[in-house]
Amino acid sequence: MGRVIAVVSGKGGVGKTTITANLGIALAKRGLNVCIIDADIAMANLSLLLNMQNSPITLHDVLLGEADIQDALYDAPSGMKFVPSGLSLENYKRVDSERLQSVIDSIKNQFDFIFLDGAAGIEKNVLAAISASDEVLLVTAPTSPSIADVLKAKITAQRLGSKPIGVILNFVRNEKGEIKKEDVMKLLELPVLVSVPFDDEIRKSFMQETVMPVMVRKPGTPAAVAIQKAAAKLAGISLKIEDVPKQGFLAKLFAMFKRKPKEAVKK
Amino acid sequence: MFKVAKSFLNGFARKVLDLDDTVKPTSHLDLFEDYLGKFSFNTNTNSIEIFLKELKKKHLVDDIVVSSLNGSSIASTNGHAISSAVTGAALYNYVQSEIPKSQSVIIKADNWHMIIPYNGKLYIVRASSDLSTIELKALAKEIDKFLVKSS
Repeated sequence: MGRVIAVVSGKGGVGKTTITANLGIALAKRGLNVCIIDADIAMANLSLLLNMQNSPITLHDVLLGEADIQDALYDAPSGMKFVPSGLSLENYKRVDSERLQSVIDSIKNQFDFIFLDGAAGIEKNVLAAISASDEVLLVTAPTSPSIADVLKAKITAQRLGSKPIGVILNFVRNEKGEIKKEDVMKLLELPVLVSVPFDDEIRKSFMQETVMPVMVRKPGTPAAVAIQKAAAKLAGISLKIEDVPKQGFLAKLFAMFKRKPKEAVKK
Repeated sequence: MFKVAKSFLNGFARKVLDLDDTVKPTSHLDLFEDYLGKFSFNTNTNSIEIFLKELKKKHLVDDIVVSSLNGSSIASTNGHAISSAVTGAALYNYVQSEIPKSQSVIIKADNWHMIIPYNGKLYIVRASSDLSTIELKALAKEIDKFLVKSS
């Protein structure tokens, strides 16, 4: 039976979709059977990041009872499977997100990990994603508005009987005014799996002729390395960081003055 | 190369000249701690009364009544369990007879009155805001687990 993990944050724009896609790829590259599902039924973006926006059958069709989930499983990068959500507003209005639970249950045996990329907020569709999951992974930026929202997301997960397992602290720039990892752990009473440094390569993922997640395009960049560490922690496997260029003296000197967390740099 | 040099000089200047003028918002952190303090609940108890009272806090509801499908009261957080159970069961059974596939009954009056069946029992909930069927089901599931464990 696979682990079903909802990736939620409360606040929008903190990198849930990017984290979900790259975590999935990192685990799939280690040989695990991974499926990622775009559970952001209203504002689906995951298919854009994976460059799979033309998939004909979507989660909308499955939730409407018009297609089987097996027909909505597509081959994604690194051997991962992907269930896209539809872009149609009309179908979004018609779907019954409460059916998500039975849909997930029907494919649980096929995978080691199923990740649900949840929407922002704590509205019905997010509740459906959390409720359909056994575990919840929280994503937040190190700023107070993000922390305020992720607290509510954690409480919501507890109410719905889904277990919060940890936090990914994203967009870390190591500025003095950021809320530190220790503060986040204390407030949320959860481990911070990893601090993902702010990395321009993530932003550039959407600015390519062929859009691809950073784990495919540049797996050695600081953010991708951090996400691989989170994947290793989640799966309880040893870490084998890919394609990290060996640093010479000058590169090390430059890195000293770059604002990125030390833990994300391979020693 | 120019970009790298610029980034290096920028970083160097920030470190040396201490240009990072940001400060951790400690007042916000204090606020979050207060907020979390209000949501503390402990459902680790053997007493159904205490358990339901803690669930009220956890799910932000005013009253919870558990009844059988025929209206006999099993547990409650208020003093009107018998009448609430009878009324709730009658209402649910009527709706069910008219709309057999109904999964819950949600009524807005001064407060919200919600009824959901789960595992052969009815869970009647009153709250100042409405709960989705997903939330109601989670609440019912939690109580059912407690009842099964303690029986």
